[in-house]
Amino acid sequence: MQVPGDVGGGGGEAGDMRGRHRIQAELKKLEQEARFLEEELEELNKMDKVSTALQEFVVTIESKADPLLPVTTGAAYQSWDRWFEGPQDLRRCKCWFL
Amino acid sequence: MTCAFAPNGQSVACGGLDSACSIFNLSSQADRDGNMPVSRVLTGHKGYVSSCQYVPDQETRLITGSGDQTCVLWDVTTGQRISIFGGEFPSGHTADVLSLSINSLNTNMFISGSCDTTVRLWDLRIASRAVRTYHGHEGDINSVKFFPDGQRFGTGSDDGTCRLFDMRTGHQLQVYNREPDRNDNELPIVTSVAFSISGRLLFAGYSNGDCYVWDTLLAEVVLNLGTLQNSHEGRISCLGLSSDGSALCTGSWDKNLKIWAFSGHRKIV
Repeated sequence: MQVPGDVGGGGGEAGDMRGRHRIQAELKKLEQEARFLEEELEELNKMDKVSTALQEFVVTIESKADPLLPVTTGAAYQSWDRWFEGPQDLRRCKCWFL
Repeated sequence: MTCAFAPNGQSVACGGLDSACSIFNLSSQADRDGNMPVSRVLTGHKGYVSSCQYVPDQETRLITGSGDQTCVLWDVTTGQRISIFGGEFPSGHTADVLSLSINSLNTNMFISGSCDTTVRLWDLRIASRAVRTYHGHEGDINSVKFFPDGQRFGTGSDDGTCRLFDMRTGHQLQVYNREPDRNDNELPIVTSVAFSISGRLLFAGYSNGDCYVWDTLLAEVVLNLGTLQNSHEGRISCLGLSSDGSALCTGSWDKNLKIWAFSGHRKIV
């Protein structure tokens, strides 16, 4: 007897195959993810200590001239103060200058 | 929600809740109402476009971040997606992407910050997997910005803190934690961050209109621009430095943009 929803005689088997393929694809994904995590763990074991990174950080911030610091290294430029000169084109600029 | 100049300053890209990124050519003729025509629309995201940035020195390539949890690299001239970062592939973000920042020293690398509380580092040449994931924040990451030398980056989050991470090792180098309010009000969230040109200062905009200037080394607040005369009267939504680092611009829900610069005496050593 044919049950509503049956598609020919092989509908059940086709469904099983699809399910199997899906599970195999999921497994492959998980295996790949596990490999990536192992690689990441290996990298972490070889990683520099945080003290090295902090030392590099200190050297970097002291090496460049910074117009927003009261004490800074390197050359200063007059253009750093252009913000206090007011609008250049009074006809078109609507900014108000404090 | 986001806009960016092209490297040559001739185009602007902007994106938002229409899930698209529109490109405007600034040399086009504006219409009678002064509106610029759209020269191209980049469609394909399945969620809002939260952030966009042109790849430095490449007028034709743009990266967008989206509420659909992915970042996309676009060819602006053809409107085609070159690569999708995240989405179907593992190691993508698991919630909305809110912010991105491209490494100016190695323009193949960019970071994205997300509502999944992580930052991910991507290589433009390898879309299939994030290079590294950075954990630490306890809330949505609203803003990410590379440090000037491209070796570390700063973040701002709904958890009320800013953090500094080392890009290569993933170490969290510093947390910038503000004092809780005396009235026990909820901690304001960080909406936007930017570094001064040396990296010694971190500017952080907050939801209550504060704009803290953090000393990145000492993790101390140097100044709160929100307490100065003529400060913003609403949430700080965005901020950025001029290209020579001599001024900061802040944007706010009070509908104003303000430019801030150092007016004291400078000592050069």
